[in-house]
Amino acid sequence: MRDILWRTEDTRGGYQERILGSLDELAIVEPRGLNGRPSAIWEAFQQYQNLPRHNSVPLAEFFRPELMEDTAKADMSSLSWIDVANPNPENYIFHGHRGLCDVSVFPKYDGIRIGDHPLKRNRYAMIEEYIDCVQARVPRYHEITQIYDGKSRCYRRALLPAVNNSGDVVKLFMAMRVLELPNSGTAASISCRTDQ
Amino acid sequence: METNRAPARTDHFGDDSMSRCWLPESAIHEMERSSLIGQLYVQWDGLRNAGGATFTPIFDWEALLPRYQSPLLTFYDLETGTEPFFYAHDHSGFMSALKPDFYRRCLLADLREIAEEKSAWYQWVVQTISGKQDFYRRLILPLMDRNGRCNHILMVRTWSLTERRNTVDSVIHAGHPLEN
Repeated sequence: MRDILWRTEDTRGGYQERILGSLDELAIVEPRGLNGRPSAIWEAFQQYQNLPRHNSVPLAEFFRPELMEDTAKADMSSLSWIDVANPNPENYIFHGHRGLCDVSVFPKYDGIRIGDHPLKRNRYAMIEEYIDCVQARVPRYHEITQIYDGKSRCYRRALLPAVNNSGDVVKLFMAMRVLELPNSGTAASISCRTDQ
Repeated sequence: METNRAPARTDHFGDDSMSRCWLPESAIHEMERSSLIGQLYVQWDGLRNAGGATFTPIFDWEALLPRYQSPLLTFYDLETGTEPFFYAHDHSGFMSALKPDFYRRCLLADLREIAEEKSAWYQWVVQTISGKQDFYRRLILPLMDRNGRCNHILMVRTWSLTERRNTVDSVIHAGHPLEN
């Protein structure tokens, strides 16, 4: 089942659709996500599932994103994490976010507080997805399609919440994989692959 | 880079919690242009800038309520006696009738503080009440009488995640296209 979280269009041709997929979908798509081989999202998810836990949520200190680096390079993925220890989501901070492919389309946000995120059109949608993941304390799998300023992008993203020794969700590990990166276009010209 | 960290306040009662997380007022202009929050803030801010105060008679909240007809919009009358009376388009009543208790206590404390502070509050609210987790944004605006005393408060919020999912489900099941 897919849940459309956010769909917006603006008069200047901007378009955004953010979809929440199920973890069943993740388990079907991502094991073959890299030209028939497991994607970095899948490798991250599998490692996450096998981490030591506190009250059934994996402990942040044991996650090792560097183990997926080779796969991430091969399938144009990004592995990063968000510090969500502060109760105010405006103060969540991106870490290890290095940008992807064309950095004008996927810029790097390492060290940026979400309240200072320059892409205002995305900020509240992102914050809602992060709060949802922190509250639910379970992974979330999203597909996001955007066209802004003539540039479009489509990607899948897994958010993996992890706790400290007190059981508080303090980090969201984020694995992101580009599906389509057309040069430009309209909503109709974007064709995201739904089955890898 | 952790500049301008925004404050938050969290109340707890048993397993219930309610965090009010402040957003800068400037974000209303940036982020709420087409929303009910943005519309009402522009009116309120216009009065504030024009006269230095947001008088209740000028703001005319009694005209706004039927005009917007939104379940997201509530006015609180602080002049009715020992406890605030709230007005919403679908029902009104004393604050003591609001449930659940934890939510009412948090809201009452917020209203008292806003009445003294006389400034706008724009916030994320992240709550767990009776085991149900949810979040939304809200804007709370104080309205003053001609003596500069806060006698009414307007609160407008966004749909919460749960409400929005329920609305989306019902729209899909009814076979209507989604609103953008």
